[in-house]
Amino acid sequence: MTHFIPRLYPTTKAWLVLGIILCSIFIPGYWFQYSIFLVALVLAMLSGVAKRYTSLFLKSIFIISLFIFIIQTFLVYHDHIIGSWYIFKVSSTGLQASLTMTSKIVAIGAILIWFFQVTQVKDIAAAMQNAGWNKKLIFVMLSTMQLIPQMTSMMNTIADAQRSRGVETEGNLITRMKSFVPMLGPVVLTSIEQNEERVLTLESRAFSNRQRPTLMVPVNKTKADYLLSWIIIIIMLGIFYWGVFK
Amino acid sequence: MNPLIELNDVLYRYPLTRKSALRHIQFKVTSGMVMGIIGVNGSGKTTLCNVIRSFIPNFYQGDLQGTVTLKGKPLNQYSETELSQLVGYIFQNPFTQISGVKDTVAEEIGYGLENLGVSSKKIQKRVAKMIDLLNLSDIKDKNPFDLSGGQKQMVAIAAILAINPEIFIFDEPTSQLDPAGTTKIFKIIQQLKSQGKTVILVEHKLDLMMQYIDQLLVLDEQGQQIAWGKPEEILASFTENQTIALPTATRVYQRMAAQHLIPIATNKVPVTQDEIVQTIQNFQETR
Amino acid sequence: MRKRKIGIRYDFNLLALLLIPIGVSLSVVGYQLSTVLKLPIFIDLIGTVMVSMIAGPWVGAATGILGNLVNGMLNPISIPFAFVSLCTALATGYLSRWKMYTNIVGIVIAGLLVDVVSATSSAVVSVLLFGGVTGTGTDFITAAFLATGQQIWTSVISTNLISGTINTIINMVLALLIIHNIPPRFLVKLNYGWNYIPKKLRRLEESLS
Repeated sequence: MTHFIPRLYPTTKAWLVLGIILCSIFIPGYWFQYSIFLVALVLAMLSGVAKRYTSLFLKSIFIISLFIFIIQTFLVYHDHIIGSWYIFKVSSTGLQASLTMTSKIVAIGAILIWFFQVTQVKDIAAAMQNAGWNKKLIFVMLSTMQLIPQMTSMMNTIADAQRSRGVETEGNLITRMKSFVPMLGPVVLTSIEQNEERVLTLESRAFSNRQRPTLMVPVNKTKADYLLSWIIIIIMLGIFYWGVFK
Repeated sequence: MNPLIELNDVLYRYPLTRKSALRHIQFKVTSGMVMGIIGVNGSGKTTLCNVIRSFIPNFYQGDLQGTVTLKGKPLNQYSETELSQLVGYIFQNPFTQISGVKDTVAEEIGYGLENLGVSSKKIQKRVAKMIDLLNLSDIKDKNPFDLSGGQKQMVAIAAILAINPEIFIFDEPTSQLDPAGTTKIFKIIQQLKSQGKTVILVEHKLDLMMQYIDQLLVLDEQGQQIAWGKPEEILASFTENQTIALPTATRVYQRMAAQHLIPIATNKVPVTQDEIVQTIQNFQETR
Repeated sequence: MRKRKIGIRYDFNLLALLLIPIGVSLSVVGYQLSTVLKLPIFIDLIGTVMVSMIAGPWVGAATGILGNLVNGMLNPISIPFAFVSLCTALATGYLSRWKMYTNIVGIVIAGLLVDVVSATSSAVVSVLLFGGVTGTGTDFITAAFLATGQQIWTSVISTNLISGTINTIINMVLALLIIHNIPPRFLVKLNYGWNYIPKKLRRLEESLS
């Protein structure tokens, strides 16, 4: 099972993401939305990424939701006071606004964190290519995902080299600021210098061809994908109807 | 027969510079030839390669005068796609020759064919063949970024070979390689030659180069063409003191001739080891 | 120099396209470096700003948006803030096209304009979607403004101007420093690079062609 979900075709999982986003925007209240945290947690467990999911969720969505509660209930609204603590007064309007707002953030954030933990960018790119998306867009996406770790490790190498040449990275603020340029500069300039030949390399590999490209290792939908997609769509439509109109 | 590549009085100036990088370049290459280009650093060897592939002026811009034709058709009438299928270009720097979008060597080799819209079955077959040909099976699942310079260069060559162009440009392909890697690349050039491909080779390792080339173009430091023809003929007019380096065989021959150990020939000099040995043997026999 | 066609249809040539990953990575690496060096500011805009200056508003916008999407894979809050990157990139790109970054007066004016644009657009996203919160340390400043009885919009925009101005200016100056070290032969191939080539070389080229 831990391999089943990550290997699903990206679109299959995207249906679920889309469905949950639409439902959480249009379904009134907040119970459905908050419950998505648990749904995504279960999905993350099934996909073997529960730990990472929880940690990412706490670091981003949980923190911002907490801040929203504090600011909205104590500071933005000052009506319908339902309680007070020290100089802070709890506004029920603010509490209501926070619940509405954070519940949507939790739902959408949770399902997106899960999605990107169980879907490789490479597969997303393949799915986009299959669907006929712009080739340049896909190229830039893949290239960026490959370059970021490259550039990070390049910066570490250069940072070490600069330190051994006596560039100060500790000390007061001005000293640390000054070390910024000799560390970052070479990384960027090297990449930019290499850019010219990389253009020619791509031209040599027929990048400018207008024909629709193919994939050497095709990524295709399986029977399970078709079946699951329909199940997801029907369930989501059901929830939407039941949640919005009933 | 129509020459495959023809340059006529080509003159080129890079943007933001005053001096021309190439002047009065004029030659014809017929199909199946291996052509060498030599000259000191900065004499325009790479620039000339870029002209033949039309990266000049399409990418580098600047002023290009004169005419360049491939198969009798002016270069500017070719589309980028046609050119990528006709002319394969292997660059000097191995580090810039990976697409940066593929995470295995095998897919990297197939990238050009993907862009050309070839079916996945055919790409896989072709890539397997290339991996076999260049002995890359040990690294075929590695990320191209993690390879050594020499390995990257071999992958780049495989990626171009996969497209199977008619003309190959090798711009100092061995400058970053060890002797074993160098030998491998020259073996590939030999194979291409035997398949009837046309090869343009820029290389500093003269002795090695001379064993493979049919025609030689010499550029001076001003980017001017100072000689074009069969290497054994045109190198006869050069002496050791001139700015261009000569192959060991030619230098040995000239020194021996200067000391009257062998007779001087003005129209033809030995350029490879085999030829100098042959020359000395012939002389010994006639004596 | 022959006249270049510029605009959204012509700006995405291959060289500019390859700048996008570099720009995104630069912002990511810049951010990492500013945390490693424990700087009080975040150099996380530098890539977007640099690309907008030399490759134009649209390529810059693509860089900015992609950067937010990449961050969004780990922190979805970042995704709606792509709107801020879009606005910042468009402002920087057009100001670059109007040659604002070639003299000191222009740089100061451009800096202020971009600052206002990013502070406002950031407030729009933060107030409408997150009740004025961003999930970072600057929320305490917003809280302080609100505690003194300010409206939410005023509070958030003020916070953004206070915390963002130095940030925007430093990112912009660093981007310009990097651009001044980019070889002219590279800049000449970009649609918006011409203004950053040293004057002497520009004159030479104009006189020769």
